[in-house]
Amino acid sequence: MALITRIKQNVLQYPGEWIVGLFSVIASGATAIRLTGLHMVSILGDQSAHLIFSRLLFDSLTPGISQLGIWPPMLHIVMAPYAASRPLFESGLAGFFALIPFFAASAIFLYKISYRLIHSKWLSVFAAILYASNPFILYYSATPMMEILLLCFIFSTAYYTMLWIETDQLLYLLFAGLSIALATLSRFEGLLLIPAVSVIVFFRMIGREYSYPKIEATFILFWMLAGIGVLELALYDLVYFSNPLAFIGIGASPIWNLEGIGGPSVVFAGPIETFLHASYYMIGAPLVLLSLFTFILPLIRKKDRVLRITALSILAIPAIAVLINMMRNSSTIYVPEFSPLHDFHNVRYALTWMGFVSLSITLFVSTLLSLKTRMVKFYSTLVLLLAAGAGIYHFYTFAMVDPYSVIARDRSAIRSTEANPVSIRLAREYDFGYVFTNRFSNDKVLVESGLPLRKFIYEGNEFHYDETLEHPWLFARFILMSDPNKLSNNAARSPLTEKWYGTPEFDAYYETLYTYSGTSVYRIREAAVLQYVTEKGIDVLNTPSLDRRAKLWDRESPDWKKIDDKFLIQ
Amino acid sequence: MEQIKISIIIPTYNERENADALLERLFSMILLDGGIVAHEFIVIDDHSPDRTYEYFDQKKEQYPFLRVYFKQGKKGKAQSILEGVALAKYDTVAMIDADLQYPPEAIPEMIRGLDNADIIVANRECNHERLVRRSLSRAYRSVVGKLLFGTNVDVQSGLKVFRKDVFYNLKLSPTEWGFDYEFLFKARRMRWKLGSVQIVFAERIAGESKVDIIRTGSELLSGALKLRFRYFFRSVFKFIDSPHYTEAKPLNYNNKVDFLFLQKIHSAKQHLFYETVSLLLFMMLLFAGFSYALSYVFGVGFLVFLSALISLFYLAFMVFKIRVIYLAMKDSPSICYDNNEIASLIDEDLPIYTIIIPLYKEAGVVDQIKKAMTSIDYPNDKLDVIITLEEYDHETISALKFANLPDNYKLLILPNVEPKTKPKALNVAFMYAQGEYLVIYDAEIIPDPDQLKKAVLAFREHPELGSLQTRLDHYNPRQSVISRFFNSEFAFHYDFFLPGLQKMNIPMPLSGHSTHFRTQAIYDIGAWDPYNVTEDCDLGIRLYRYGYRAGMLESGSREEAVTGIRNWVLQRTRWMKGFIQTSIVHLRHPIRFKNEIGGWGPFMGFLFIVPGGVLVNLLNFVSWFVLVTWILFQPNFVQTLYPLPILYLSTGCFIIGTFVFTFMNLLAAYHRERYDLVKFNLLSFAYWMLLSYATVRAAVEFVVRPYHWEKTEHGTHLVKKKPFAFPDFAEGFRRLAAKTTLF
Repeated sequence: MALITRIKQNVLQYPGEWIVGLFSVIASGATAIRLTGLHMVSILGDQSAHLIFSRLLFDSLTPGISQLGIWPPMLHIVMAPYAASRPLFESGLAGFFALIPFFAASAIFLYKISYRLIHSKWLSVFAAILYASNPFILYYSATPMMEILLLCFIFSTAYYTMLWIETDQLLYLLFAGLSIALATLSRFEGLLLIPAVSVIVFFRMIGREYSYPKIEATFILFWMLAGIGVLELALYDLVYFSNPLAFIGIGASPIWNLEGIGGPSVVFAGPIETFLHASYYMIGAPLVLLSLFTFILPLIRKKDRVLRITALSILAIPAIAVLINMMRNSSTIYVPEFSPLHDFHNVRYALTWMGFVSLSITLFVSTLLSLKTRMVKFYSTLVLLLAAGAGIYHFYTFAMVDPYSVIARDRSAIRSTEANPVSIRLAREYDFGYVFTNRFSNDKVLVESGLPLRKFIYEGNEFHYDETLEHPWLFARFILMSDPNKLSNNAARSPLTEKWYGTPEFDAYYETLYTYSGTSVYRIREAAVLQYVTEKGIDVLNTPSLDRRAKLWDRESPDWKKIDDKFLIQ
Repeated sequence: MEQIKISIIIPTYNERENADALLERLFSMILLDGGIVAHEFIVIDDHSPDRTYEYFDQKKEQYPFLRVYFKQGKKGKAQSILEGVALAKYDTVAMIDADLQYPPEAIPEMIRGLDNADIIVANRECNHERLVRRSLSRAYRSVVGKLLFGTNVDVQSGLKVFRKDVFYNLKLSPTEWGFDYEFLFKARRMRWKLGSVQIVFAERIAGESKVDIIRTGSELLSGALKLRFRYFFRSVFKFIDSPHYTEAKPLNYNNKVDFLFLQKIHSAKQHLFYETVSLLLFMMLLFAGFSYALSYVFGVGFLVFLSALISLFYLAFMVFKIRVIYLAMKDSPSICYDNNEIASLIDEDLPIYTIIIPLYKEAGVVDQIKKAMTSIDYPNDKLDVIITLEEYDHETISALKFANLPDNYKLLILPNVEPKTKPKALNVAFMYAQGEYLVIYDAEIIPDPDQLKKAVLAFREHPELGSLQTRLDHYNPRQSVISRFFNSEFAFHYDFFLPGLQKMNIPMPLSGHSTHFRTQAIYDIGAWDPYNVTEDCDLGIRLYRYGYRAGMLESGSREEAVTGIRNWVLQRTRWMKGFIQTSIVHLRHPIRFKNEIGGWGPFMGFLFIVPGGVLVNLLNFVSWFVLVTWILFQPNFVQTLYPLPILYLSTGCFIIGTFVFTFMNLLAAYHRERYDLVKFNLLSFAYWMLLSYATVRAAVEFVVRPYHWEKTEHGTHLVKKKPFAFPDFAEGFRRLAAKTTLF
């Protein structure tokens, strides 16, 4: 009863936050249900990859943080408890449950930012709901992708930076720093927040006539927190990749991207134009254009100008980051309007400035209302109706009429929404032992096969992968391999394919069980492998591909030493 | 002849018929013994049906020294005696049954026996009882007296004479008939001496015996067995056995030998007691047993178990500290007063305030002392300033004499006795303190002028507080690198850590100066321990044990930060050594300590702060060594010590802990607006290494010279640093040329 009373009091004290939060949860939940029905929860290759990263933390031949990989780890970590549930893992709903609190938080923060600027509860609710009702925002709130995490922490960064500017209380700046760290750990675009917010903080301190020692001290404290994400990435890469700056190289060149998705190696489209068009698909052309035309007016007004500039510039950071990357040729967006692909790829990168769009429109309306002119109510109502209408239309089109087709047509999506036949066949044929594969292009099989991930040997399994690569028939009872001629160059260049595909030695020890769309499932020829181990004097009971009781890679066992000595794997 | 004043306690139940004879014989005994100059008879009646109480009450006119009471507590002779002792007003007490089977005439001889013992028991050697009862008595005496309790005295004798002191701190909870053996057993454990005299145990002439052989005998035997069994464990596990025999007597404020007023068990005068040894042995056995079990059941090696334990300790320590800081930052509990509230104090209503200033080799700062003390906003006639000096510190004495100190300043020359420590000086000065409150200021302290008035307000508004800790700061934080670190550490400690401890109701390790006390509180707890080199920390813990709380007072005192590394190491070695001493002293009886300090929460808090503070510094040394070894050589054995879960735990603690506490130091410097000092704290780990080194030194010093007090050099802030100048090469060349034969 005491809890209910406290909740009631909280609702009365923060009605806007509750409305926005509840709306987000309900809308995201409804989206998750719809997407499950449409089999679109984990339709993108990246979604499967994220699910697998999460689960590999504990369900892997080599579990632990080494399985986090080079991507920012935030999503994988928050999703891990849910990925532990097999149904949530296979359905992809682990992402929904992990992201729902962050989605609600992002909407609430956007509400609070708006309210701080315009002091109007209903207009702020409008801004937050405009954001939270975007069909693609809802899509990514219900699927295992990083965008919502990034947005949540960008909004919190903006909010706390604004609070610091208003109150000069260090605590808020520290919260902003922490938010930046979390944003960096969510997506690489978060890295740009560090210099961007630093510039804002610097000019504010200059404006307040801080002494030099105080500026220096404030920056040290701020950067210590804001830099946690960078530090984590660098440390992780140093330990696991021997290169602390390995994460900077991530993000493929357009050429690599195109080759990866099977397109020609010529790029024609300009970054800004492409980005805008992608935004039209993600956010809606009317809203994008309205935002671009309206964001200037609130900045002209003198009152709270600094706060407005702060909020809008921070919310625009994701867009700026993507544009910079595109100009560096380090990340690509493709839309059907432009060559070379004339199709969709990575359009979601253009979604992350949705907060800017919502806020700028709301600020414009609020600014209009503050002007004491006769037609102000008309214009402001018109803009609101336009925005609302555009948002509703966009939602209707991409959530109801042509549900998420933009995503389904993304070149990194797995085209079929049905279960991969390879996964089904592997699940049926599997008896015991390990499955040797390369993860790139086979993530979907790892999710859908139903096998524990610790039964797979893949690139992230450190020396297990290296040793299996040398003598797969000793360790892997099954192999999942792709025909390099049928798939993209990237898949073809996997070490497994390069070393063993089509070789007589491989064919001597493995038979093809099933082939589908260039990917084959192989199983060992037991007689051949048995003969092999007998000749080499290896105990069958210690050969993992032959005996289910074998303790794999027990480095203290005499047989391992035999193998090690005989074949000297370095 | 020694003059005795004696209280004679007579428990009664239906003894009306014996009343007259008893009183007559007792009175005769008194008259005949010329040594007894005062006496009283205290009759405690157990609500006798035969109106024994009323009968005795009528006799008061005839015997003016007769006092008669109804018993208040539970039924039984034991309770009667306890109540009688509580009412006794003289130092010598006798207890005698009212049935006249014990001869009152034996009392004078028993009183004389107190010259060689503390309790004299009347042994019933020749008695005329029936055979059954006589045999049972003898059997009981053999079994219970000799076998169980190891004494030859008659443990069930109803006639005893003893010093009333014996009952100080003697916690008795007897059964109906079980007073005697419990009293003698526990008194003996408190090292009171037992003696005996032989008496003739007469036959009962009037009245009926209350003793039921079967029932009383069973109760006595079972009670004795239970008592012995309970104390058997306490004999083995001494750390659960309290009170200690040194607590048999109250605090001794007359000790002029070494000015130790505390009982030895509460002092660092002796480090090893059986209690500490038994506790260490017990912990080692527990640890060994647990690690063996882990090895046997799970195959976990001993060293792996140890590294897991260390990792868990780091985790717990980190979580504890973060929580403390969080609570302090959320809502600081410091007691604040504004100028109006201070101005509302009327000088006439202010109490006398004692300021103790212990000095040793402080001639250089005498002027500063005078300036600081005369700046204090408090009426001079209410200030009781005591400056203590060693008799051989001629320089300081001379400097003070020439300083023209105000009249209310007393110079107190300390007796030349060991130990030569600051707390000894404080104890000497304390005996002369007149104030209702007192504060200690070290030589170099500059307190806020209104600090005393704020303290008065705080003490008046918060009766639960026994002490007030002020915020310490330095007036030379930038004098050297070490002073910068030191200042940030202070900022963290006084702005974040101590307020957090106050919020959590955990005992605070107080600072050695600028802490204000109620004088009565200091008196109640036995003042300072002259053998503890961090007497301040020990005092703070003891105040908590006695129920006095500490509060943070929002007022500042500035002191001199040590500027040289050597000076810092010496000072910090002493602090850590004192922490070791304080840990040992208070953990002699850990269960009792836990109960006195307020439960598991404060107890765990103490463990983290005091012994934990020492342990973490020592472990840091080891951990850094392992880390550096691993980075340089990557030996296999290090890898085996850290299987994956422990590796994650320890790495996480290392990274997060290093980051969090470095950040806290930065934040603390920022909080005090020492912005230029913030960046220095990025090198906090170097400061922690120094801290570890000092702690290792402390551990060694604890063994080789535990009471050595390394004097911190003061006045370095007064030494002007020479400005930097380029060396005069030309001059140097000329000097070199002059020395050689070349030119």
